Amino acid sequence: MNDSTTHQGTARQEAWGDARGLRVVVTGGSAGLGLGLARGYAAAGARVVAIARNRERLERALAGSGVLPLAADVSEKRAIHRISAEVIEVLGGVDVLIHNASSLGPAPLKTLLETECEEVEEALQTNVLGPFRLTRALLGHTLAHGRGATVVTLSSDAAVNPYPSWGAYSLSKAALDQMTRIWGRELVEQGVRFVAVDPGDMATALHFAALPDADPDGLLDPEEVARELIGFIGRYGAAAPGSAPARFSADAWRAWA
Amino acid sequence: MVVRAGASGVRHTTVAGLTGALRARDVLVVNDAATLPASLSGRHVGSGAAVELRLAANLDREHRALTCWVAAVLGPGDWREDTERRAPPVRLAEGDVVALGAGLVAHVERRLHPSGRLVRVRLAARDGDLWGALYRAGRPIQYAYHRAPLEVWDQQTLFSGPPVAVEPPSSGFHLTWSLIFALQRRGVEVVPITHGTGLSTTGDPSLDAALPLPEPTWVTAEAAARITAARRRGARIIAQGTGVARALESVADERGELRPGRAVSLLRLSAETRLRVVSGLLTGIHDPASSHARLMESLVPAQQLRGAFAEAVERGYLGHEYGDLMLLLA
Repeated sequence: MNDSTTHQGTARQEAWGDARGLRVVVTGGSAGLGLGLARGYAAAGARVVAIARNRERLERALAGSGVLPLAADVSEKRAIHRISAEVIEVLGGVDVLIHNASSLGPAPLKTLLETECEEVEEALQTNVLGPFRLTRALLGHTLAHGRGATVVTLSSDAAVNPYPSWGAYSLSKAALDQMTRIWGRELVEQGVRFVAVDPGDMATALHFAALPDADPDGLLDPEEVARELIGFIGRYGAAAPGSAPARFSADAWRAWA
Repeated sequence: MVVRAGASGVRHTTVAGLTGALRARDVLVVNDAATLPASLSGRHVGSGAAVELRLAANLDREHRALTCWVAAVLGPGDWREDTERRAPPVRLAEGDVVALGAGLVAHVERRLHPSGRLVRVRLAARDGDLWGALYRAGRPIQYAYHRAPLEVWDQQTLFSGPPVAVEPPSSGFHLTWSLIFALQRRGVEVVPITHGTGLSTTGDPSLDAALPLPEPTWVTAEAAARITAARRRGARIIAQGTGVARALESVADERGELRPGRAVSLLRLSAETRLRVVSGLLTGIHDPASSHARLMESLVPAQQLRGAFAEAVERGYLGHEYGDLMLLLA
């Protein structure tokens, strides 16, 4: 943030695009895509709060980035008002909210016949109810002030394709997709844009938890995806509300302009 | 119910009836404050006495911090007992420490009232995460009339943003987004300000006589401009809650123009107050003997309010924070 005035900061800002003045919240911000998004937005001049469960890990990952760490678990109902209160107090409002925190459900993966009810619950709490609650808690203030916002949810091809043994994750991501679409329709007049984005297969902890033998060379670099995604979110947020699709597959959002 | 000053009788309607009672170009000024879990129970380190601290005012908000507070001190027990009947607390003094659970401690910095029932404290979290510790250790301030324990989400309104209220701006509880959007489609402007609703009682008569304590208000430049412009064109300004009414009148200058920024609401509105901004008030059903009723008399004559209250009782309207609403129009 402050380093944007230094020479190095200016160079970084050019690489990431310009997000000066934006207030951004990213969940799951201590690793992978979430960390890339948080650091990328901060480098582009945005004020960013990154949320993750493990405080030490979060603070270590964000050291020197200018991103404000907020240690909380978005899957806990009790944590939500603390998050919204701190975010609004610190940022003054939210322009871009990215629900990136994701739970795989059972690891290793299991067929639904072997999946415990609690494992489905865990996936739903993190992937659906957390985003639902946090969006509600943050948007009221945004709407009261007559401002728009862009809300991004992270989807997956598993939300669309019925891959065996991805049940808990799949059904939660399908629910998240649909929630994103409905919310977008309901708040189109208020200028709040909702979009679900499938980033594609990345070299992240979640991917290796699901597929321990995956070949890293065949996977996308989450930092590179974060850079592309920040550009996409900027374009999406500038589009007329309701004019663009509310869900993008891994290839479609990269092609969309 | 809708009470119009000077009109005979009251009009009974539901909250949805607000769309009929308000008209295009009216301005509804709402409070976007979130309510903190401001009741902290713990033990006085040393004596081991049970103590409840109720946060009353954040002295650090300009630094976006939660460290330094004015707090009311209550003795053993909890909200299930009437506040006035609670046993008196241990007399806290400078340098005392209260352990509040979840790794949260309060260091007493100063006694602010001779009774020792109002102190300045510095909060600290063992792990350095004060926000986390406060939300884990704290619970909502509530009163004996409501038996079930409240959760932090029970006290938020549609608009909840900055956490500066210690008791909820409860007149917002009944509002829904469908209603707000319907009002906006009708041409009613909805304008938020941030008002830190304070404690309604401490249980100590000498302190309670001084309530409400000064309450902080923040008005953005945009809100100030919109409200001032509306007043100039003769639009009605409807306050959501007594706190907003008090805040708007406190923030306004002699001509009724609002200054943006932070202000402290010191005014106590009454029948003698000449209102400069507010021409309507959305509020709960308040007993004519309460301090809220004094404020309401700034809009509607006392006799008319007494009649409205009697009718509300007869018809089974509910009082208190989670009860029904009345709209007063000057």
